[in-house]
This record gives sequence, C-alpha cells and structure tokens, in this order.
Amino acid sequence: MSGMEQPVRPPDPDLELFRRVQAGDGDAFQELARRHEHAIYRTALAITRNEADAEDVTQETFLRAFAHRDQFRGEARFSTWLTQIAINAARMRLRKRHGDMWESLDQAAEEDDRAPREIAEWREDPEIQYGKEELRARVEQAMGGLPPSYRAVLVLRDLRDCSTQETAEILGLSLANVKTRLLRARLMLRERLAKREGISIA
Amino acid sequence: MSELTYCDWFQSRLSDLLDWEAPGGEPAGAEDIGEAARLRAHAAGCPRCRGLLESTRQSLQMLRLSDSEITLPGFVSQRLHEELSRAMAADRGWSRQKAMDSPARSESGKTGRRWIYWGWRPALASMAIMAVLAGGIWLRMRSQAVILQGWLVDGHCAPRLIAMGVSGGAHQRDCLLRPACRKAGYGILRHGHWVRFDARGNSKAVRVITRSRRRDHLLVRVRGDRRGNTIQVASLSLLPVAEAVSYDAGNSSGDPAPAQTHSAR
Repeated sequence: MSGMEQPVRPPDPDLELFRRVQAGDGDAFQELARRHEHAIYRTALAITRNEADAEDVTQETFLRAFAHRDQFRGEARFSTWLTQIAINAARMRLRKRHGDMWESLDQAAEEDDRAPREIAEWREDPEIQYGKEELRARVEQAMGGLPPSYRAVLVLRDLRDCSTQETAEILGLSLANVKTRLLRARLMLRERLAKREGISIA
Repeated sequence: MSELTYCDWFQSRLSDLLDWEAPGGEPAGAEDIGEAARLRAHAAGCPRCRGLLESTRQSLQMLRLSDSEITLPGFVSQRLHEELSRAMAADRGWSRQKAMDSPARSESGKTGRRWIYWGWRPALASMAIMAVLAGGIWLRMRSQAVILQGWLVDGHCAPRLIAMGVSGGAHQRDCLLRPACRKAGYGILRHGHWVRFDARGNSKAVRVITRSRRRDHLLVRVRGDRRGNTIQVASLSLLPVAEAVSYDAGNSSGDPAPAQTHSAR
C-alpha cells in the first residue's frame, strides 16, 4: 500500500486559541481569523476563480465557523474544519453560477483511472523566465482550465498541506479517488503550463 | 503490471513519489520504501520519466509560488473582522458565557488588593461607555439621511478625476476592479466632490461592479446616512445606461428628491 498517512498527527497549533473561544474569548476568535483569513481566501479563490465570490466565501466561512463553534470537537485540525466550511461555501457559489457542474465532474472522474499518456515536453525552468506577476497569471490560467473537482484536490493537497485522509473527508471522497484526482490534476497542471509555452506534444 | 510498460507504471505512481519527497511524507513500511526505490531507479535510467518527474515538481513549485503572492485585500479583512464583532455582539449566549467567565467574577473574593484593583475598573468602563454613547448621540445628531446620485468611483482614482475636472462617466469598470482601486474603497463622485462609502457600502459596490457588464458609465443611486464625508450605505443601485448618458451630458435634474433631512433622529 502506497502513500500511507502519518500515524502520529502533530498537535493542532490552533487548539489552545479555540479553547479560549469556547470559554468566551472574542479576541481569540479574531486572532484565529487573522491567522487563517489569507489561506481561506486563497482556497476560495482557487475554487471559485472569482475575487468577489472568494471574498464573500471567506467572510461566510468565518461567520459560519463562529456560529457553529460548538460543533468543532478537535478531532480534526481547526484549519481543516475551516477549509471544509470554505470548500462547501465555494461549492454553493459554483453551483449558483454554473449549475451542478461540480457533481457531474464528480461522476466523470470515476470512469477512467488511468493517467493521460501523452506528455508535453518541458524545456526550461519557468521560474527563471518569468516575473512574479507573469508567473501568477500563467498559473492562474492553467488552474482555471482544470475541472473544479480536480482543482479542489490539488489546492487542498499541494497548497493547504492537507493529508490524503483530510482531503477525502473534506470533499467526501474515498482515499483512492483523492489519489487518482491528485495525479490527474498534477499532470493536467503540468500539461497546461507546458502548453502555455507553445511546446509540442511528444 | 502485465499490460503496462514501466513508463506507464512510473506515471501512475508519480504522485506517490512526489508525496514521499515532501517533508514528513517519507514512505512508511517496507513495501513503500521498496516501491520508492524502484521508481527512483527507473527515473534515473529513463530520461522521459525523469523529465516528467522534474517538470511536474517544477509546476507544483510554480503553483506554490504564485499562491504565496495572494492575500486577502485589506478592506475585506477589515470588513470581515467588523462582521465578526457584530456577530459576537448579537450572540446572546456568547455574551452571557463571557460574563460568567470574566476575571472579575472568577477572582472575586480573593485578596483585598485584588478587590481594590478590580474596583476601579467598572467605574472606568462605565465612563468609557458613557463617552462612547455621548459620542454616538452627537454623531447621530449630525447625521443626515440622503439619497445621492453620481458616479461610482474608487478612492484611488477619484482625486485624479477631480483634479482633471472630468466626469466619472468615462471611468471604467475594469479600473474599478484593479487591486489598488478596490483597496482604496469606493464612493460616489458628484459635482467634483467624492463621498466615501462605509464598509457595507464597499461590499455593495463590489457586488454592483462585478454583476454589471457595463464597461463604463456606472451611475449609481445611494441611500443612507451621511456623516461628514462618509455615507453609511443602506442601499446602492446601478441606474440604467440611458439615465447615465443623460446625466453625463448634464441633462439630469441631479439628485432625486432627498429623503427627510434631519439634524436629529
């Protein structure tokens, strides 16, 4: 069996602050919001691809987390719990904008579990070639071309450092499904970044 | 692996290999350690798979680099914390719980010095509350219910437009959405004067701008309480293009009939 999760989870750095929240300390929740607002915004932006939606999702996430603070038992990391709320809120936004696209993509992903065979050639180190703005624009375009359900897995695993298990719990998927989507998402991202260079398929 | 070539096998396990390279993601168990060694050995001998591994690793680096550049805009963060404060204030259970857990309560009955120490705090708090209330009453007395009509312009571009003496009609939607413009906050530009929106107004303005497909001529009508150079926005609506063009040409009758203007409510 490959990719086994870490057996011992490191202690949650937010748990102490959250205990203070549960004891009625408002400043502690504001502090937690300050810690995570950028990460939640990035997650929401990566899923919705729309700044205004991402801003609304960020606000909604923290307000919901505050309203449902009693439901957090500390079994998962606080950041994972927040991310789950944010992903659900972002999904709702996407549904409103594009109908039930997320669900249809969920089903499509089950059909073929083989990775794409054709590999676009990658010539040079793009980090050296581009400035930060250009790099961001290219990655944004490449990410924008990924199906939302793949994007979500990529964001959670590679940007938010969620484990496969956490990603599966947040998205309501099996571990195998998370792994399949992650492989595809990574290869698709690579393909799209390579295509932006106008490089031929090998 | 009977149907797969070694390269196909490598590609199907690429994600695992990348995960095993991550800090704390080392393979666990003899089977995984063996698999990782076989994958690395294949990559060492196969330029195509080695290139695939390298370039996928690079694309993930690019993804992380670009992600680290993104931050929540300052005014959105401010709005978020204001909303959280409001939610906390509105949560009665929260307030009660907070009162129960307050140090004044839990430490009462301790040393005399402690009792004296806490003794002046309620008086100070009362004075502060009274000062805030007095300030609030004074501000409310100065407030004015208004309905204004003008161009939706951000605080970044407004001074430039005023200095140039041009109409806000030509100010473009794309410009309004630029990070610097969003960060500066929105307001209404009319008669060469720009009046700032409060946080709620900014939020409404963002919605109006993002939902509109109009390139320019974003003429809006805003209703709210004006205090000094800020409007506490109650409602904000985008007016039709025809009205905007007419306003820009100077044919408009100006602001709509104002709501009751008062010095005290």
